[in-house]
Amino acid sequence: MPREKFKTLTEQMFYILLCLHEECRGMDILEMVRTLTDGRVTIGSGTLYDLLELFVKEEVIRETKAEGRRRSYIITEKGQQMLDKEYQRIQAQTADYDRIRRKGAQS
Amino acid sequence: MKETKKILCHFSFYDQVRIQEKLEEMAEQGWMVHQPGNFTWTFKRMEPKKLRFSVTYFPNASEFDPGPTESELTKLDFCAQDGWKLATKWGVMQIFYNENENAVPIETEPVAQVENVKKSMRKNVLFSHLMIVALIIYYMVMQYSMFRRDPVEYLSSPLKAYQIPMWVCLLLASLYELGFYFYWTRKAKKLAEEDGVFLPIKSNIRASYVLLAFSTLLILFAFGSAKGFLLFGLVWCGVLCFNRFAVNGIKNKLKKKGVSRRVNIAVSTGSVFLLSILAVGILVYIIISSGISLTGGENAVGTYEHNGMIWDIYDDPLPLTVEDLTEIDGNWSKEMDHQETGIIAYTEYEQRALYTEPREVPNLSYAIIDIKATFLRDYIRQAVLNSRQDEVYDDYVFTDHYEPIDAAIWGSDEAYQLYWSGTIMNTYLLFWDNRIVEITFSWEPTVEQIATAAEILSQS
Repeated sequence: MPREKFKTLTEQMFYILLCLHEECRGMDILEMVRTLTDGRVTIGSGTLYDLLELFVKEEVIRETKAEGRRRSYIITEKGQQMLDKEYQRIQAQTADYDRIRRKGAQS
Repeated sequence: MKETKKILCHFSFYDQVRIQEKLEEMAEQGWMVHQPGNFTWTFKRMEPKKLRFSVTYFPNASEFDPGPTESELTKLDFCAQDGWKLATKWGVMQIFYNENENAVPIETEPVAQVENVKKSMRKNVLFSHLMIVALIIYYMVMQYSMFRRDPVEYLSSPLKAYQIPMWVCLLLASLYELGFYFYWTRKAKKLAEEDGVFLPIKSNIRASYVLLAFSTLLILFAFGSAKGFLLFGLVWCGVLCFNRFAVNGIKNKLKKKGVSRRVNIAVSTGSVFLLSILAVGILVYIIISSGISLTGGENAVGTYEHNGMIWDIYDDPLPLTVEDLTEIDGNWSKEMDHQETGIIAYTEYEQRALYTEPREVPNLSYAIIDIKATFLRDYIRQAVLNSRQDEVYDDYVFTDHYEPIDAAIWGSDEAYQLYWSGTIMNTYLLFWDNRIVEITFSWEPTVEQIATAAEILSQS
């Protein structure tokens, strides 16, 4: 599993991890992300399954319980760090945008 | 009204786009995919509908699984949330359909999608094609050593010569698949990570058909050179098909019985070996019991008994006979063996006195090599000359080579005589333009007999 894949999180990865800040059933994430983003971000059901598998393998999230095929997950310390890093990156991006736009508006 | 339909579909296993388009087109015509295959796909009749299809890959699945695994079922549950239903699966390939045209696609994240396809390809493409390439290289090395040993025999035998381009084609096809795998994974990964775009795999159907047609043509050429070979080829194809159906049957039966993946793989693989051995046994039995001659051509016109053994008598047409050269009367068996490709025509002739004849009755044998691929003339000439080499044992040399003689009496470009075991033999090697003749007299020929033989053999 190549590490560079998680250097920056894609929007879908970001929201999956965000939903898992508290224990949550994998299948519920699809709806949670839709609601959270007002339908702006949609995750394919196959993609959600694949990413959850990938995250568990990379210890970004961990399985908390399994009721039959319904499994619940929660973000790990490592995952939280990744999420924080991505948040800081987005914030820096936003700050850059604001600074440039403000400069443009003043001149 | 037919309830099932088989159609010829030759897609690359990973060409999701083309497969999806075909399945959508079939659904609109009232046919739902039932069972994908290497060449034909089976469809079942249904109400014509506008459906959306999605082809995905589940790398941990196997065609030997008795049913979907827990993790596969979990993925199906996830997909069902968005209305995606499993239409069918084929090894690691899963085909879903959805009645909602605006449903969220199953795969929306190129990075995960690439990783999935890559894992599936590694399992299916990389291993199998590396094995094929290794086998072809091993086979080609064997063929090359056969070619080095006797280039004339090799290049004049359709069964051998026409196999070379066929194996080269297969090697190129496998190398192309391997190259494509590495090219695609590198490029797709980069695009997915940097641009968030999934690079679809597109199959080159036309190239596949051309390769298939070319290989079939070469097989027909190779096996069609003689009646025996063609029959052999057809029986062999039949046996292979039977073998494949039988192994598939065993695999499916075990799946239905719920046997585990490992046991199924072990039993199916064992069946391949056992059935192959059985098939070879059946083939040998057919050949022996039906008296098929694989070298083809010769038909005995009679038999005779000598020393308690039965010998065949042949009366094949020979361009040069003992009767053309001497007045001696006798009974002979005249045999011809011809093989030919677009590169070389090679014919062996033998006029052998029956064993019941007095020792004075002479024998004559000769071989005519006609080189059609003239660019190979010098190579073939040298190879024929080098086919006999002295053998050195410590301080003793066993002579076995051709020595140049005056070509004028043969009217040839070059002439040689065999020097064997310290003796000059009545065996001559002659070169006329694109023709090479090696002739052995059982007596010492006169100048007149040489002139007659040369006249006939240089022109026949």
